[in-house]
Amino acid sequence: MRHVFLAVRWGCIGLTAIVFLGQLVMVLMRYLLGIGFLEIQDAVNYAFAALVALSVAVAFDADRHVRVDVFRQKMTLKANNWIDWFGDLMLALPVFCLMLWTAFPLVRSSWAILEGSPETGGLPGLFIVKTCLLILPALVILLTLTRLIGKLRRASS
Amino acid sequence: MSADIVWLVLMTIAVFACILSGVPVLLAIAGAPTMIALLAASFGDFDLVFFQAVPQRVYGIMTNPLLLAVPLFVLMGLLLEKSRQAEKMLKSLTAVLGGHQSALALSVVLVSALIAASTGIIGATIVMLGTITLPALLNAGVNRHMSSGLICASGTLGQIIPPSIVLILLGDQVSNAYFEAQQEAGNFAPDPVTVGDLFAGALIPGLLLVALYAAYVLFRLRGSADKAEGDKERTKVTAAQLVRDIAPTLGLIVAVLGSILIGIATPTEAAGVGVAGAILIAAAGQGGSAPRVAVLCAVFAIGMLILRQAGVLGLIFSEGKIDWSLQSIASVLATVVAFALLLSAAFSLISRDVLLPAVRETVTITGMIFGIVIAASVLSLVFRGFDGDEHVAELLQSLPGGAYGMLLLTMLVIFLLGFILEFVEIIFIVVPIVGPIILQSDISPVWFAVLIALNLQTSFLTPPFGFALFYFRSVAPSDIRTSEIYASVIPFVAIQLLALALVASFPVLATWLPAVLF
Repeated sequence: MRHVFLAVRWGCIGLTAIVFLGQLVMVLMRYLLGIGFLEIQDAVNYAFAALVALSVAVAFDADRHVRVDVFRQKMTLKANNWIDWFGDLMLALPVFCLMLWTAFPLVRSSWAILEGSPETGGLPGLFIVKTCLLILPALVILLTLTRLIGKLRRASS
Repeated sequence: MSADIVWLVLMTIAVFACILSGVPVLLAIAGAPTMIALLAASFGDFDLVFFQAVPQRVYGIMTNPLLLAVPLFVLMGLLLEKSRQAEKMLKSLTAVLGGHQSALALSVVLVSALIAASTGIIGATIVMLGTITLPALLNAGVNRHMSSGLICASGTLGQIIPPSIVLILLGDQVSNAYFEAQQEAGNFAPDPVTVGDLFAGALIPGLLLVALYAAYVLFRLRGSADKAEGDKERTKVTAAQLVRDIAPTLGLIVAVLGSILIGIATPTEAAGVGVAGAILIAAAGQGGSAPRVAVLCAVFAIGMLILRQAGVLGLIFSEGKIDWSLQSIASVLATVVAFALLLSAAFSLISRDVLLPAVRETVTITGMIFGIVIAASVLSLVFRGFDGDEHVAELLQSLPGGAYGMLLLTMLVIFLLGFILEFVEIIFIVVPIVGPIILQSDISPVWFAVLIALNLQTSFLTPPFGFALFYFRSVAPSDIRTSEIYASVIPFVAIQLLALALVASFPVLATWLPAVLF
């Protein structure tokens, strides 16, 4: 599990680099040379799309999602643990299971035609980007399940 | 019909209960509506078909070209923060100004405005201002009240002074809402609202706030004696050093904002250049050969822009194909050299452990922002599934005072929501619900957005729940009591309300600049 998320994190760093460098190359070419490439534009857009989906999972793993801790600070560790348990089981699992379930047909039809860029002359491989719609919920569900199982084990031992 | 309202009320209660319980906000605003919807579906009151739109919505967010500027602006701000550029500006300014109370306080306002424009992340700005300027202000004899209030208030400027992330997200939501509203009202070709419009619209109100803060500071500290004779030896920083510390950041902000406002570049392009500029500024602050590379790269790039304007640089096209003449080849080579210089500056930052932490942090902040954006889209789908939009429309239309009555209620709700939610949640939940109704009237979308931004900023400053105060509390020494911090911001909240009232009664403050520029 550690390794999976480490890989995703590094992937996100790479995607950020692609977004920035691609954007910069486009600006340089447009303003200094007067030329543009649809492929670079598409690469930047693809990288950004994947970054959005994967970074949400990374923030989950790092426990960096915003919390309102007005009451959290005042409660005992045990109470907070219970709340996290509830959040994982009753909120995270249903939302992301539903997303996984509903995204599946969308991604499948995209793979069926090996969907490419909507622009003519753009980059192929949009179906890989769309697959992130499955990867995001899958990662979150995996993370939540490992956390829940870990807690159950500790509780039973 | 009435069952819908019961479910909507239940949903609202569930969302708030979950938010306050301390689970991640993302889970609360996506999970609670999902559970209520599943429950309602088992009573036959909700059609689960609505959930099929979730992936499509998420995909829409992933491919929204406007939001592409968000991670880039985050990265730009983080680079300036991690390379301690803002800290340097503040330190040299405080050193030069020595013990002059009002000058020092004034410089806090001005530098905050500058930092605000570059980062736009209130937490980071307040923590930094608190750790650096609070001791300096107290040393100079500015009392604790004034210092605390000033820092909290200045730290929130990042929300309103462009280029801010709040305005980018607002731009996305307000333009959607405006389009929907105008279609509903029978105008099928409304003028689009752009992020550039909002940046231009927020500029004057933002500067107005800075001016009001400054006027208040000067008024309160008038005739104050210059203390701190003992600190004379600290003023070793020369004016040249000061210029060297401030000019690059100022130049970068002017360039980024200016190119958007004049309409040369899109916000995304400007953000890309902004990151490049931040890399150069950060590299210039390091030791070794990095500063020389950075300066060379900056000069080279500016020189190339001038040559391009003069028509000497650029590819030559003949009949739609590139003509590989001497000029074309030289232009490509020059561009490659500029890019290579930038890369070498970036590599020097990697080896000095500045770039990677900044990028890593960018990834998590991007995840935080988009997690909430995605969750809010789930909430709004369930809300629509219960016909919530129609119920809110009925409620708003039953208010006295027409569009302005609706606006007033909306502002009040946003102000209260600002106590428990961050701006991303509020923008993505409230604007899609009320925007399409309010903007059907002749209310200017830019004015509407600027009012929301000002309102949110005020809310974050208002005790006892303002976020700015929590951030300041975390860095302020413990002998400053929390109640003191609360009392200290009251004059500034009053100034905020004054600015809000001014913009509310004179919409031209927000709408004039966009009208002139675009």
